[in-house]
Amino acid sequence: MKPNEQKPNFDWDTLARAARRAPSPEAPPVPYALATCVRALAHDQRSAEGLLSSWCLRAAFASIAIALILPFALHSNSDAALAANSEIESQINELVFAP
Amino acid sequence: MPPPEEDDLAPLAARASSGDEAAARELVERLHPLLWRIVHAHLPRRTDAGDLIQEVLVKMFTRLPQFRGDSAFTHWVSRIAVTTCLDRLKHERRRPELRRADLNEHESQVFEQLIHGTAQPDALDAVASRDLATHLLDLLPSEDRALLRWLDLDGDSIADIAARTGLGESAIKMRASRARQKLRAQVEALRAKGLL
Repeated sequence: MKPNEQKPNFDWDTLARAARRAPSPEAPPVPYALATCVRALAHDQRSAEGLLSSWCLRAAFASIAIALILPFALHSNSDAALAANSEIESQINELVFAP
Repeated sequence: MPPPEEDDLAPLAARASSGDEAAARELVERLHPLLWRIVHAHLPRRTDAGDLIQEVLVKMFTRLPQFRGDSAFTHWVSRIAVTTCLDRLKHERRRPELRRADLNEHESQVFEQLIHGTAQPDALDAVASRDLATHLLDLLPSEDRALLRWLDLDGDSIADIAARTGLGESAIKMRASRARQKLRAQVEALRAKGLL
């Protein structure tokens, strides 16, 4: 019998039950850059600036976004934080978008 | 790692929201395994899991002041993670088809056993079954794919999925049933074309 004449008997439930026996992939540790940046940005704007100027050079754009938004989120009422945020943003723009 | 305890995380989130460095760090570290699991399960092709986790964390931190404690904190964060993943997946077209050549030897063997109806779950290669199931789920739209992965592969409860998605329990059951029908129809269509 040709394959296309054979009535398929696909059984998703059996496949899913077998698949559930596979070991779960283990989560990796928190990436160092992320943990460091979150810690710094949550606490100390100046060290955050220092970190960012070295870190953003090798980070993807999505990684930079967290650095821009976190200070705003965590210190949304702080004028100093907003000013620092603006400064960080302009530094990143220079580093990332400068020709 | 066990799931984060609800009672520990809501106070942590409150402290992080007020600028507590240690709390923000601990929150990220405690949530990372959960976020990694969600993101890893729904990772769009050609996307880095780390980037997506960071996107989820950015959203979480920016929305922390909006967390009112109406639901468990991990459910609240899971919902952000799921929505983020599904938004990304919407931009990704489902795979139009799957061919036998796309399967490795072990996956192909599992498929043969399934098609011939002789397979018992315990007799099938578990890892190959999981990989084959993942290939097949790629044939479905992103929301169907997520639902079947949670229910049938991860073994999540309907109550958990309801909390994560905001859908009602009966809607989840109905959607899952339709998704399974769609999957069977897709596989049968590919078999009929001689591709699988």
